[in-house]
Amino acid sequence: MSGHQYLSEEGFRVDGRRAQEMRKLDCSLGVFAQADGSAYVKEGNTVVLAAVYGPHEVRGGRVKALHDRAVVNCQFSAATFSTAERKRRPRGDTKSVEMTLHLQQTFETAILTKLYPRCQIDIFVEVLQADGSILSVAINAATMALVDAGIGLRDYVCACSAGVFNDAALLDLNNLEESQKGTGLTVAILPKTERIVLVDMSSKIHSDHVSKTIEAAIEGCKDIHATFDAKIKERVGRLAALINTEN
Amino acid sequence: MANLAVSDSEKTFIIHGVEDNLRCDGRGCLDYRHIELELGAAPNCSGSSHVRIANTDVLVGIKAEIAAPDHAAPDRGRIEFFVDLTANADPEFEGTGGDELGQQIAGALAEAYVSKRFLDLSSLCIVKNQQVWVLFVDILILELGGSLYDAVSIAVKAALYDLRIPKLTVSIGEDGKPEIEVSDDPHTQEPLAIANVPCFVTLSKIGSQFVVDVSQEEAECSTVNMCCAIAPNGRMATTMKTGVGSLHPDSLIEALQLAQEIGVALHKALHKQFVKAQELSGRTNGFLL
Amino acid sequence: MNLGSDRKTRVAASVPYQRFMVRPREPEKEFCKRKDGRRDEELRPRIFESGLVSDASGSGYVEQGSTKVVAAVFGPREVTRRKEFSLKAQLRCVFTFEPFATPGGRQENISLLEQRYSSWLEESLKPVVQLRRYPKASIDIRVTCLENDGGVLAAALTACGIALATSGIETFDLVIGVNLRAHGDRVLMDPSHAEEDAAPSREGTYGNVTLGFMPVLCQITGLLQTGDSEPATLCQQISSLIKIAHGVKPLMEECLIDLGKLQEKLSEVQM
Repeated sequence: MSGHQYLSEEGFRVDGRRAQEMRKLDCSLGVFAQADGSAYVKEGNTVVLAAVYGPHEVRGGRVKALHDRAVVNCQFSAATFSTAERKRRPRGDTKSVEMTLHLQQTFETAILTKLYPRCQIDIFVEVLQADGSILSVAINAATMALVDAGIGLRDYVCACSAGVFNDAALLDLNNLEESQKGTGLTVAILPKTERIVLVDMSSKIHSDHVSKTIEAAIEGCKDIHATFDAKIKERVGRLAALINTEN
Repeated sequence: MANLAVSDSEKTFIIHGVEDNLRCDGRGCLDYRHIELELGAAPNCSGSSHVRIANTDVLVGIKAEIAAPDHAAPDRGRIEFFVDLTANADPEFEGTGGDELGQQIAGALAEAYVSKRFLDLSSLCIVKNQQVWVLFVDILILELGGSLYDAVSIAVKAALYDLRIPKLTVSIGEDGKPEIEVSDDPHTQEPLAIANVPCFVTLSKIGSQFVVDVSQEEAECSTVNMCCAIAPNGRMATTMKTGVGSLHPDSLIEALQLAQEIGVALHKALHKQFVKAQELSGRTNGFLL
Repeated sequence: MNLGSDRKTRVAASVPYQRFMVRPREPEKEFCKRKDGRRDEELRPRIFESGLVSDASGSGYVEQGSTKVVAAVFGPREVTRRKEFSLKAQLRCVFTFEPFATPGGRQENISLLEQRYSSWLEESLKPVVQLRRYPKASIDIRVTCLENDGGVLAAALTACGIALATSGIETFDLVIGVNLRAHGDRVLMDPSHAEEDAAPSREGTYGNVTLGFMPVLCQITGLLQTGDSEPATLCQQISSLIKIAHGVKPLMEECLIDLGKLQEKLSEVQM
């Protein structure tokens, strides 16, 4: 374990959190006027910006259009200064392509694509600061941007990462914990039905720990759901109040 | 920029307005929009800034790394620009769509910063011929609302103002080779002298008038822009004509003089803003919240 | 195409040994005389040719001293892709350096320079062509620099001007590229590569200015200034560049008339 103690005997992690404690979650919606929906999500030191364009006509020829549902087009990119070591390029590397694919598959199930035949929905995710759990924060940000754009979703998609250290499940990993090989997975769920839409495990976990870790992550997802739901309700309430005063 | 369509009658409206020195948002021809500025927007960088001019949103992060110098200038640090036009700003920029424009902006910035009269990089030299600081200036365009060159150069200057480089001590080791030591105290950091750093002032010709800081709608009405990098002392680092139109020499002369006046005033105003932003830096809770 | 920038070798790029060589610093001497014995305002001998590329709709060749540039115009061609439909013609310009163009082999960042030059040329040529005459068409211009001895951008623009004039594409005017190097109080017209890259003067203005100019309409189509200058100085320099452009114009016209005569003769022979 390379000298680091990821969970001290007193039960504290490197950044002072408890094992099941999430980092501070902040988000704001509608940060940009030009996009149809946008969200800014800050989870600890991981900061992600998401923008949604659409539903609109399929760009780049009609060949891609699907007659019965919408095309979901995603792009994951990370600012070159987002990581501790400067990245060479913001997108196009293997990791970004993989992230793009994860996002696309997740949101193809979550969006009610049947409502928008022959349309395209663009989801662009931009990581501004990377401090672990990038995929889960990216999914959360994309969800919020989709909600802001008013696109029909089955449910919120809430994602959370978790890992195992010394038999204890840790939630919402930061960069240091994530870089410890052999731990960590990301789970995204639809909270109301508790259906899992994504499990990404790119490292090895002992089979005994898998179900425990996933369960812990699901608990984290539910927490995130509660925060987001409150946020959205507050925002909608504010907007509704505005409409009332205008009349 | 997304799906921006300006009809002919809208264009006429804008052009007539400009003739009367009144623009759609109430400004005169030579007024800037409000510039929102924030320093230290990306805490994991050596220097960073976030600039918002109405809809134009630019985030700049500078990372300082130690590397070998350019062999044409062995006793100076290096500065490298990279402009990333994100798909957030315009779906057109998805994938490699924004690369060409990004390289164009990066090239113009490099041209403006190349002379040591404007930015002296000799303070970034650690061991001559071998090790220098390299400043990677990464510019992220988050939203596009016109006058991109101006906004980018303001953001870059702000990030350079915010830049702090760790202090190093070089000693000659036992084997006669220089050894570099980083100070243990994280607060012994040095700023960079940026008193002469230029900013771009873009003048767009709408009708027969020159207009500064155009919005996207106004940019559609103009065919020719004069893009000048003006230093605080009024000197010009680079000038270029952009856009698809042409200019009479007389109007070019007018534009250059205007740009100089505006540039000098802009730098004065910016400096005040920098000082103010410096006091606030680090206290805000992330720039978009 | 990609001589000298082999991707495989690039990945494992070693640090060039020149970097560690301690070179005696060249004394910053103020050059009083130009190396080739020219006066400051004197241009190098130049040759304009046209009709070099037989496949193209028009082509031009410019030699300024030993700077050599070829330009060829292709089109107007119909744009078939619906997405690219436009009421104006689309003009695209691609500028490339031959691998042997620059002394000392291919430079590191040459492709960035090529891209900058391409977009500058494109923006300087768009005001010249009557784009509205060719809806849903595309015009492609390829420019190749065979040898770079200063003033490549200006020579390239002039070559494009000849190529456009001989292509039969409707233009507003001819276009001529001219450039100068400022060094303190001195203004060197048509500088060589060494003069363009010379160390800046101790004080005062320095830098390169390139101008694209339409002589009959008296319109500036392109401008690029680098270095350190002032508006008043730049204005003076531009007006002297305009004078030079007017001086170059007869040479260009002569070249076009020659081509016209040649074509006339050819058609007589064919009859």
